[in-house]
Amino acid sequence: VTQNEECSQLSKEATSPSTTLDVGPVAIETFAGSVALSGSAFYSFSSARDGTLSLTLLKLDDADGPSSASMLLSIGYPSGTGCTIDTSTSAPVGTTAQLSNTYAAGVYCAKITDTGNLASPATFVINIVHPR
Amino acid sequence: MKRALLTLTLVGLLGSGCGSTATAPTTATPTAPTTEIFTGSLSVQGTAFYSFGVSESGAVGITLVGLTSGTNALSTVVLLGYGIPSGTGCGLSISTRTAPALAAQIRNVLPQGIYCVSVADVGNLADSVNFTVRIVHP
Repeated sequence: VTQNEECSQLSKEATSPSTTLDVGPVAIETFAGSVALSGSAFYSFSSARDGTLSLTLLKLDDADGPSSASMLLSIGYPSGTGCTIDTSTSAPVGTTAQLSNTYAAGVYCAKITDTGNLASPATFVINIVHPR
Repeated sequence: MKRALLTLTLVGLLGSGCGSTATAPTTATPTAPTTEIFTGSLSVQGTAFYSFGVSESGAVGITLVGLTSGTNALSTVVLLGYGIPSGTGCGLSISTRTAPALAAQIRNVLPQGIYCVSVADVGNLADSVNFTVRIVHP
């Protein structure tokens, strides 16, 4: 094997596409609370392994009952007295994850924010799924 | 002649990597510590917390610098601690009951990561107070 062939082989090995299978145990944490008009709330959690973090806004109730208002859902990093947003989406209540993204192991936060769609203060339930 | 051949051979060997050029050793330069100031109001039986990131393993110092009520400095003992942000609070790893002081009440070496500092009333407050905590970390 010549040096060029060896280097070529090493290069191929180093650049071959890899498939990351997001398997292994996951933890489901429930973040329940209330959010004021134009307010926000956040919840911190630790993801033990690299993998997918997902948020599902399962329930949103305002003064009149179940609300179909879209809320800003975010994943970020605890910082200072808040949660610095990394990724976010605006979505109403649903049964499948509205926000999903892959992250390295570490400490993160889930955040819900009213961007002006709520008619009154609301209570919410968010499921957070992350590797454990 | 032998020396010239040896030199050529060594140059050939050293230069036979797969296109890599950055072989010189590098020396890690420690970064200057960062100071963050956490101020807020602590209510009776209340808790406040603040999250911060440690960029590399190193010494962390946490100092409850002051407790004040109006213009009065207080020597009230409160709970000062640090841990990892968890849920809607700070999951404490280490804590100590302390009054304000100039020297760090908590010192520890922490690996890279996100941590939090917490201040809590342990039953000594009769009214809300303002606090100042200094956090020094890599």
